[in-house]
Parts: sequence; structure tokens; C-alpha cells
Amino acid sequence: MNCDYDLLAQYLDGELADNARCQLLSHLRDCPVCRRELGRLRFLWLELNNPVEIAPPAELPYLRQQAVRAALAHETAGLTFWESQRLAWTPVLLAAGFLADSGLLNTMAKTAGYGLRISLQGLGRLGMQLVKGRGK
Amino acid sequence: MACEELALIVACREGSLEACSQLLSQYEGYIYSLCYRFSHQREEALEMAQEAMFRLIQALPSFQPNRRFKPWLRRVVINSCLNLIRHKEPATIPLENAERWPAATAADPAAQAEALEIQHSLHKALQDLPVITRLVIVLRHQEGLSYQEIADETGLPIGTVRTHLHRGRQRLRAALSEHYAWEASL
Repeated sequence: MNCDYDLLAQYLDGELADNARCQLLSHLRDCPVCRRELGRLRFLWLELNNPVEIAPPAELPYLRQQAVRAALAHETAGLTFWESQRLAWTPVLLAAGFLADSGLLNTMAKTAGYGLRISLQGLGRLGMQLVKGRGK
Repeated sequence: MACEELALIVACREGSLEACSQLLSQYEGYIYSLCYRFSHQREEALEMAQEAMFRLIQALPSFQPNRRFKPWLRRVVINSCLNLIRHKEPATIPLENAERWPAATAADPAAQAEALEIQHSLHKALQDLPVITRLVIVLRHQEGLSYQEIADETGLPIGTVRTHLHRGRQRLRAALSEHYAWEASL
């Protein structure tokens, strides 16, 4: 086995397969150059693994608030016309369903799920029901 | 995952500003420190952190509650940082924050001063690395990820991850060798 820096690095990273690790350990017993290099790499690993304490800056909460507002605003702005109409009409339709007739709840729930055109159809149907009810 | 955290995530998905803010406040220190270790520059780290928090809120609907939240968050932060990095690859960054290292103490000032000098050299060498190489080194040594995990998180092939680690460490080792009069590596 030849001296190989990469194998030493992979050994320290715990990335060597069992077989390769045994071969390397065997090589290390006979190779003072690799043993010395391994010691140096251990030192480098120690320095790199040393956790660095990084204090969060004072403006971070403010930036967080800005990011959250921007993300939520972006979400709302991302709605299509029909989606925004459906969201706007949903409470009205559901409330109307409660007021008019419990049998219409199913229709209302369905209309709330499909876009404005269907919502308007449901609303028209509701109007017809109310007119018929008054006629009686 | 804790029930409280899951409830927060659900509230975030429903568009609650307070819930989003509360959820992020638990992780903003971690997000910033990750960004700082990638960029090694305060202003750039703040920009990265803000962008990452924006992306996190946007990506929350894709989070699967049966998974752990922090690794998912880390992946979003890394992707967000990589996107920013791709748009503007920074040049060598000035050494600006030497004051954050502790000063030599009276107990063993010589040893402390030597340790500080080594830290300085390593820090400087890290700053001089290309950003992707630095990212891979940070993910390996500070986050403790395996080669495969780094490849998964960054979208780099595993061979490229190894190459970045190899090149980065060679340069870091060279920085140390100046102090210890080590010969060139194997």
C-alpha cells in the first residue's frame, strides 16, 4: 500500500470501509511518514471541529420579522384571481348556507371548494330557493 | 417532533404571522451562525439569514411532519445560501473580526497567544477558500455531516464533495505548516 493523504483524511472522517481501514492501520504500523502525517491531520481536525461561538447580531429579530412579512405577503400576492375570489366568497356562502336551509350546506361546502363560477351558481341556486320559499 | 413545534408549523402554514415569527425565533441563531460560517462576513451573513428565513416560510408547506424539522431547515438554508452565492461569488473577504477571539489571558499568555495566532491563520485560510469549498468544510467539520449527507444537502456529486474537502484541507494544512515548519503534504 502506498502513502495516501486522501485515505488518511477518509480514515479520520470515519468514511473508510472496514477492509480499507484494516489495510490502512496495517500500513500505519510500518510507515512513520504516514503516522506523522496522521498526527498533523488530527491536529487540523481538532482545530476545524472546534465549535465557533457566533453571537447573533441585535438586528436579527428585526430582519426575521421583515422576512416573515415579506414571505406571507408574497404568498397572498401569489394567489390567482379565482383563488382570491373563492377565499373572499367562502365565508359569505357558508353563512348564507346556515341561514337559508341546512339542506343547502352540502351545496355551499362544494361551491366553496371550486372557484367563483361555481360559487355564483350556488349563490343563484340559493336565491331561487329563497324566492320559491317566499312564494309559498 | 415536539407537539408545540408541530402546532407552530401548522399555524405557520395557515399564514399566522406570530407563529412564523415564533418558529423562526427558535432557530434564527442557528441560521445566522450557519450563514456566518459560510460567508465569514457579518453583513453578508445577515443578508443570507434573512433570505433563508424568507425561503423557509415559503417552503413550509413542503415540510413533511413525520420528518425531523432541523435537518429540513438546514437543507433549505443551505440551498438558499447556495442560490445567493451563485448569483454573486464574493472575492476574498477581509479579515474583519479578529476582536471576537478571546484575548490572551494572564494564566499562560505565551500559549494563549500562540493558540490565537494559529486560529487566526486557519480563519484567514478558511476565508480565502472558494465559497463552495468552505461550505463543504463547514458541513463536514462543524455540522458533522458524512460525505453522502453533504452530497444530498448541496446537490453536489459525492466525488466533487471529496475533491472540495481534499483541496480545502490541503490549503488549511498549508496554513498550519507555516507555523510548525511542516513540509508539504504527502
